[in-house]
Amino acid sequence: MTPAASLDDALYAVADPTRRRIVERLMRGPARVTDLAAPFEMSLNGVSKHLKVLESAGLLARDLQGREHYLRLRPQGLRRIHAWTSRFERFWSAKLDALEAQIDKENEDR
Amino acid sequence: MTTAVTPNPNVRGPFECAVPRVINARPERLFRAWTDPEKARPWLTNGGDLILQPHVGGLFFLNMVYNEHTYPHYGRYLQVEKDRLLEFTWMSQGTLGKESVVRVTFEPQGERTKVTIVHSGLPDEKNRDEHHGGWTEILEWMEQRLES
Repeated sequence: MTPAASLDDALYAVADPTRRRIVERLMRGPARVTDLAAPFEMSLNGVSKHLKVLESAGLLARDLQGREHYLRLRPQGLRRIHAWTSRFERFWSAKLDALEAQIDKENEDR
Repeated sequence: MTTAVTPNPNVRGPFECAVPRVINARPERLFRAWTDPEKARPWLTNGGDLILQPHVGGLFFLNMVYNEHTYPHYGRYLQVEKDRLLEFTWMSQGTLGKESVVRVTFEPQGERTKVTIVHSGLPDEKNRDEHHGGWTEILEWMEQRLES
């Protein structure tokens, strides 16, 4: 998987409110699929689909404990999204710094 | 005075970021700094070539110079309201080659002007037909979670 593709997948994954709530729940600790289905009033099948999206985006990992699958968060995925989007904010902020400096200089020269 | 903002049907993705700044100049001067190539070249492209055709459908092209490399950015103007509003599409390596939208508003505050840049439509092909929460909401959500 290329980094760009995986970033796309991660952005897509957290663009959905239900998936964000699942991630939020997993920030409190690992959970089973059944634990996740109950509070969201969703079928196991429905939750599984969301989990699959999060998993293929690199945001989730599965651990097998006995016969139970436990899901846990991989925060690296979220950090990558955050780093990517804040780039645009930093970019425009730097451009406005440059514009402001230019205007201030013109003001002084007047 | 606030600039009326209508939802933009051209936005491609659900994510956006907003950067506001109050600058010590009147809107007409700042509008010119965004639309006159001679005024825009020093701060916007760091000396690189640029083409600005600030009318609806006009070309927007920047060769951004950064660390001795040149990064092309291009798009077309979607909305132009003199001294009030500029909106253009924005494509670059940074948007993963996808179309996003930059909206710049100029609001007078006495002798100064509040310039707000909203960069939206980031990214993504898969999200094209979905309408989820704004980027700000997601960013805030992630910041809170990453800090805790």
